[in-house]
Amino acid sequence: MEVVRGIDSLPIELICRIFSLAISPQDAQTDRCRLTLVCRLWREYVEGSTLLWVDISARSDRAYIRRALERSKASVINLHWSAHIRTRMNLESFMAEAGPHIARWRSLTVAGRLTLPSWENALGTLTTAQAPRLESLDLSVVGSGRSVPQNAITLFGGAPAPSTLKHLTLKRVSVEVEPLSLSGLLSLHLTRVANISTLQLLEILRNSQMLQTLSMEDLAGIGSQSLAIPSIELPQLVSLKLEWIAPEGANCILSKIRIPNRRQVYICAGIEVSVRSVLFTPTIAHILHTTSPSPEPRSSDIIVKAEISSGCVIQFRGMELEIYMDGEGVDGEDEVQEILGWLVEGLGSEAAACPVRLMIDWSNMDPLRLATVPSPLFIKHLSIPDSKVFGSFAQPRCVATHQPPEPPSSGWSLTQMESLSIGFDTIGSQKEFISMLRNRYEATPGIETIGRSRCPMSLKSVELRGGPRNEGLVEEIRGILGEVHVFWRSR
Amino acid sequence: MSAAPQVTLESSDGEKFKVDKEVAERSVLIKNMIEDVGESDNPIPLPNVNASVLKKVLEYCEHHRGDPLPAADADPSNDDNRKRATEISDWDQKFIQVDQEMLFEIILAANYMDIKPLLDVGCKTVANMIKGKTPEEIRKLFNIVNDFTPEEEAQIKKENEWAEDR
Repeated sequence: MEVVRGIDSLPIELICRIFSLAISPQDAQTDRCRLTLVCRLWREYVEGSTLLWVDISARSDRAYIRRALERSKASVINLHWSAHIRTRMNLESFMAEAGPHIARWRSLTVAGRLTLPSWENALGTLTTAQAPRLESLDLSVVGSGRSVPQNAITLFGGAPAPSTLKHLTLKRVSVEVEPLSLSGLLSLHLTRVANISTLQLLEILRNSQMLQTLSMEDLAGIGSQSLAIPSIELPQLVSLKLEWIAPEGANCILSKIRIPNRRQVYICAGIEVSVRSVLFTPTIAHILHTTSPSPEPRSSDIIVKAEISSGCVIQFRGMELEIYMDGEGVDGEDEVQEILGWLVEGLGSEAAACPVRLMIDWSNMDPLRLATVPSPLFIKHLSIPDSKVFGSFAQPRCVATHQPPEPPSSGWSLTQMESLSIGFDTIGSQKEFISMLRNRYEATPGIETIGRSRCPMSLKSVELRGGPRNEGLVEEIRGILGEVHVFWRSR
Repeated sequence: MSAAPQVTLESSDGEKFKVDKEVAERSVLIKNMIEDVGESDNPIPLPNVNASVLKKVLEYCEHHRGDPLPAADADPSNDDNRKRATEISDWDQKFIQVDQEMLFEIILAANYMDIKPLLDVGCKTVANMIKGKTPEEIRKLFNIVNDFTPEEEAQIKKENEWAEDR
């Protein structure tokens, strides 16, 4: 007789492996309990497998944590304490339970609040003893407010970090970095760590040449320093993130590192005077031109998003620049054009094949100035709200509303635009748009048509969105624009 | 251009499969056997895998023939490894959409033939089936009989501070 295979046909080690995948580290107790309640055999498996007890979270009570520490036997353990979750123990008590097992710690994640009386005391053993098998350390302050614990915390009793440490995240927690002699890191995330200096950071990078991910945000200690040190090659680094780092500090770091295999580069900065004064030294311009040598197919689209009042995002081949206009007299359009100009310089003849997708929404920027991209770049797609359509874009030289002059003059925008997306707020604005199209297009005598199409320029599709929708809107615009694909996209 | 070297595999029910050596060597078991015995025209017997399962396993190996081999010492309790293990490619997801019996047969075959990535896909698929389900739903899914007495069940819940709404 043929035997029908069921889950009980799997050997214990495979069942336990499946269980470990089914247990989330953050809520291991609940998930373990679900499995325990299935049947006696599963209960035996759960209680007998050390692998299933290695995730220890403060969602469990003291008795359960003790049981997990006992049942995980000699295995390395992953500790999670977060003020976000329904914590059953305060950090100090949690660390007091886990402290005697510090030799088995593989990872420690602490997400505490500023209200902790003393971070140093709460972290207990971490500040006094070595954790020889620690691979990942994440210390974060969660919740609102900018301030960090006042005094920098000494870890591992002032000894160097274990050589096993590969992942370090410090968020709004200052730690004495110098004694740690950090090296061999694979990921480093630093957010509002006030006491780390440019030199210390570069030293970590120099000693972590296998680093894969680096993110830095709002580091007050990173500034310009005249450092006579050679370039640091980080061949494994694929993701770099710089947010709100002082311009001179960011430039200093970027000028000292070489990241030939980057795939994702994200830079966020405020512009007070001009874009050139902030971040975009030749080093960054170089990254912008060459990002990203990834194995994925290279997209040539340059995406410019002006969707919030004072900011703009430019994306190209894994590079993302997010800039905010902070200073008086900095309106942003010139900065965007300047960055696009650097792209053109860097791309050379390739620039002509790089279409721009311009997306505008709640922006203070002038859409016409944004759309006037440096040659040979061209706008291929434009997404715009109705309020902008009836502003400067209503001028006859834009938006498929008129025939370009022959020969085309440099003052003409959007002659190569293939798709247009308009967001409507009211039925009135939809009617106005139709009227504008009729007046500017149908009423103009002598417009030559391309083939059977009555639409000038390269426009192939028009997306209408928003609402409420005026009945017959799509059909009416189709009637005006001929063969252009006109459609309504519901919210 | 010379043809790629091939080997013949024989399933438990006597069916023979001629495949490229590169494909067969996705299995560490077969790779070691070829290294130990040397190249031969004799079929390699796989007494624990029947033809229908072997066909499926070879489909997987064929699709992944050029992939880098996984690290032998990846620790399943490592957070990173677990996260990676929860990611299944689209092709693998479609491949593993089989009935439960075949799923367990594939897992057993991958374990026996030592094909770690396939074992990962199988284990992850079963883990996903379990995730978020109540004990009763899990029992129903795998046709498991609840052999606890009500008292035992209550005791386990008490020990674990189990709340039904979790």
